[in-house]
Amino acid sequence: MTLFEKSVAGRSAFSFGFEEDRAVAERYVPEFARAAVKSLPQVAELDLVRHFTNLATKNYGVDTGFYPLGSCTMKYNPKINERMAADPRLTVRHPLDNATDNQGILQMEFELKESLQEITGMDDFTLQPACGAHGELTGMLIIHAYMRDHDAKRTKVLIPDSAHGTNPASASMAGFQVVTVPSNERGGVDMDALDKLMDDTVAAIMLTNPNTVGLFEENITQIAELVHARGGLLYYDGANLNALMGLIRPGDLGFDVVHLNLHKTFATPHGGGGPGAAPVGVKKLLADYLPIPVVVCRDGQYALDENRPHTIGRMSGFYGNTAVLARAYVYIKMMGRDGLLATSRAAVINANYVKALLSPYFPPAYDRPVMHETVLSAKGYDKYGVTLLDIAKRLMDYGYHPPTIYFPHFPPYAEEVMMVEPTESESKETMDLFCDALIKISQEAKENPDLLLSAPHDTVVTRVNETYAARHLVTSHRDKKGT
Amino acid sequence: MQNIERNRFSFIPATGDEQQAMLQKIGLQFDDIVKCFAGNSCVEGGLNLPDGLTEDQMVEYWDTMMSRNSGPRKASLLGAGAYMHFIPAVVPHLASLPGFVTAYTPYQPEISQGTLQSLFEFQSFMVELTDMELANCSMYDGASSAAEAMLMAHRIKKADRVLVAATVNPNYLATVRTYLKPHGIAVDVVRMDGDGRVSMEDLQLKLSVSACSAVLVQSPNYLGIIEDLGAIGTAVHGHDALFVESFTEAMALGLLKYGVGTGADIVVGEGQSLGLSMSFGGPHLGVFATLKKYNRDFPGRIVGESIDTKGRQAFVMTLRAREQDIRREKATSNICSNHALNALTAAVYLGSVGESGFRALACENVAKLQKLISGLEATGHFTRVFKQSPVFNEAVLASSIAPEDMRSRLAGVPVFPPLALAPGVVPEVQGMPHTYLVCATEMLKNNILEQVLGALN
Amino acid sequence: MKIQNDARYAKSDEWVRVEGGVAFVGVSDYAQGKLGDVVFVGEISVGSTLKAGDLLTSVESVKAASDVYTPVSGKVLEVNHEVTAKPELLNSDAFGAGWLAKIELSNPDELNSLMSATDYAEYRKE
Repeated sequence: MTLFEKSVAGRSAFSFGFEEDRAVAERYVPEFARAAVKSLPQVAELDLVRHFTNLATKNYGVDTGFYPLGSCTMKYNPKINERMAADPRLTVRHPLDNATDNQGILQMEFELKESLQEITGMDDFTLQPACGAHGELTGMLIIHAYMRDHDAKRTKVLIPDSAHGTNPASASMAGFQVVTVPSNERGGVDMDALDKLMDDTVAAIMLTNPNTVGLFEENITQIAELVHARGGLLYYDGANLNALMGLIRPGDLGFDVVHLNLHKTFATPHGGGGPGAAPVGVKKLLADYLPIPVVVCRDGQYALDENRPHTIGRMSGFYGNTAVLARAYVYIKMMGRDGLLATSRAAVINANYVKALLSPYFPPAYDRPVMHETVLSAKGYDKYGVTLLDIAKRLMDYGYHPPTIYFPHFPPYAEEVMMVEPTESESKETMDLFCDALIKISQEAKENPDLLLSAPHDTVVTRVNETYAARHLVTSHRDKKGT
Repeated sequence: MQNIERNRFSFIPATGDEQQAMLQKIGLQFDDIVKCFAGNSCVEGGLNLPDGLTEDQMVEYWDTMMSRNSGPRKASLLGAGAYMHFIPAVVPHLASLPGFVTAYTPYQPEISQGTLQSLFEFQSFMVELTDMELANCSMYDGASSAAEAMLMAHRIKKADRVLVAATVNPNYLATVRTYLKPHGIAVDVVRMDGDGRVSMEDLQLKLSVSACSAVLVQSPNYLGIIEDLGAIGTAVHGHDALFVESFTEAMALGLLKYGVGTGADIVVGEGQSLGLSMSFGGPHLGVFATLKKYNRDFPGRIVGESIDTKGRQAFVMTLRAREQDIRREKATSNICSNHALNALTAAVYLGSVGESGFRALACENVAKLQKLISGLEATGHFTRVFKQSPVFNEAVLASSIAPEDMRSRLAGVPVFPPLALAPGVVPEVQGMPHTYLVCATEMLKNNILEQVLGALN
Repeated sequence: MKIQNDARYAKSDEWVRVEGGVAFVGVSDYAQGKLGDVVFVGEISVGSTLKAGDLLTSVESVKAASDVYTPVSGKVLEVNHEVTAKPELLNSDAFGAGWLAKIELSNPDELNSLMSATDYAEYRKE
């Protein structure tokens, strides 16, 4: 039942000392006043608390159990981050208030910027983008503006077939034409194809490294040299940075623009789908194109600088998701130099361990050591009448959130695959138990496939009918009343 | 040293022995795994970052840093896109439940009913408050939502031109320009009239001169003035363009008319006033609502109601074929993650205040601003600009007091000082060369209001 | 996989069948199987003139979206409103009640360069 269906007229959860006469306002602008909304729920505070508290129990979360989701880096969200981000000295601050009155917040943002520059090997950063896709759009708009000024015939962007869907969507939103580059049998970019495609109409190549099959791009130096030599730029999708911190830096590999996902690598909570934050880093040649304002420090005073002559403009109303930035800031400050390296090291070991345990049952897409995630195939199971989706749903009965499924998808190398990323947060026992569960399911597939086909059984709801949802579109309480 | 290591590694459970055992199972040493980096630069000598802090050291560091902000604030005379409102204790309590906070995107609906149902309830609230037919489950903020609305209108109407009222928040206009620039879509600004509202004359002129895909208007507008959305909607529909209404102050939805009744095709705006802290600018909450006939064209995720195999009520993300993971470069937007937790927070807030509480708060805002304006005018140092135009909780006042003087006078009062507008934004008033956009919400309790008036007398 | 013997097929899985001098166009049973439960069929404008290979409409399932291209050139005479109202017809009867548009052929010779039913069955054999 929704909150709307629990409404009882006359109930209230609100307690506030009104000081003014309500009639003043009701009389003030009658021609613009709306009719009273009759259908919002009226509930008491306990109704509200029970409603949402019970809803929260119907959710799986990192605090509940393991999320082996490839490319999502569902690592633990440290509670100290939450405590710091709830500080009223951060939350009760107006963004348009004078910079001199907000030196603490601006110091935090500036130090974060500097840390990110050091971690990635980039020269400058904007903290404005709200999440990965927004960061990609920002980065691609920067490239678009740069090319418009320097070489306007470069209207194309090269994107590997293994790329996350936001990459071509962002490139397209930034005004580019998308050209797909195939992957080779080693799991990297096909160099011959790249050689043919990289010409003077191409503005940039968008790469994820390690890529979406968890492999480090072996030819990255040659790719960077080739693209730069022919006048293009390199964009780095930082979704998989958890594999590289303290080991290698995208800036050193030749990337010109980088976006990071703070809600992945830097432990800010996922919140059921955001808010996140995606700072975008650039090399010097693009720094003037950053969206404004940029946080700067001059003579120990922090300020928001709008003096970027070639700025692409603004990507949002203010300066970014400060409360999310604060969480990542605390995480980085507490991990420090050695902690970040230990994080990536542990993430890589964990992924290879899971790959070693599961490979006999779910062959890896590529027989190479992986970085922080591994891609395993379920192709052989269709002979039992069982799909990857069925395997995933059955995992829920064992108390796990399924890994990423059906992505990446680029036949013939990656089909019917699941992507498993344990992260450094998981203990050996958790990984052992998870792999045991998957191995049991692989046996169930052969001996008792119905268990998978009808899964999940033990969850609050069983398989939800997506066709019904789309064919009988009800997206609000108003729809249900049939208005 | 051991002490520090023990604390830092609390986020990494694996012990040295366990990692050795895992490497044995893998059959490689760590250096073998990363030898694929060979030939590429590795970070020489480690990252140039300080040692990590322990939890208590972090608290200390943070405290020292945050004490550099000026003192605590109880109210804000500063609005212009972010607003200080009362947040009931139950709101952050429920919004911080770990089941919501640490959950992933609800791609697996069977174990995400908490998120999905809360978002469905948020959508329901938005449909009612904006008086539209469907609402998505959030975007990032009002500015980017407005930009996405322009792109959506362009997809539908195809004309390479949009009109934006001069009275729209300047950061929203800037964001629209950034998003539209690479597509060669012209952004023409419709002038302000002598009453501080969008000029109907200039609107008609600009609508007639050539085709446009959309007209974007904000109400209450940047100067706090309520626009005549119905009249604008009629004018827009006399031409083949979409009417996009926007708001920066969601509390206005409690009292003012928006949506189908005023001819809107799309309503976008900022939901920060719905139980979210200002947090120095983010994360806030993008609201996006539209008509059912555009249900294949709008951006963002949407949750639908359905049934499970046992016929029980269940919620699931729907209309997914518009999104980036399926459509890739043909998607309606690149948006992937949105601001789901903030949408949930807004739903809790609205459940907490209820419709009567929400309308009462909106009325309190109007009355507080009227009281503040009267008090400020009575000092003799202020006068309202655009006196005839109705306002909600913000208004422009001209003053003889300069911004620096304003700030120092208000230094002892726990309020954010009002925004000083740049010269030339509004018509000049004789003897009062400085103009301010002044905001008053329900937080401006009488005792604080008196302090403000005392300081500015 | 169902096959309509008197239809001609495009490589992109559209079929065309001439009946009473007018061409019926739709997507094959193979295509609907790959898509899954169809939930939406996009608008097609009556009276529009198309060339073979032009985008006719797009069709959506819960997990995929597919562009449909006209296999023949001509003017769109009629659109199947039944399938817009009940997209599931495309799944249950792709060659019959699930037809998408009626086209007045401007170049009947084009039919010869499309695949026969046997060739298409071979092409899509799994």
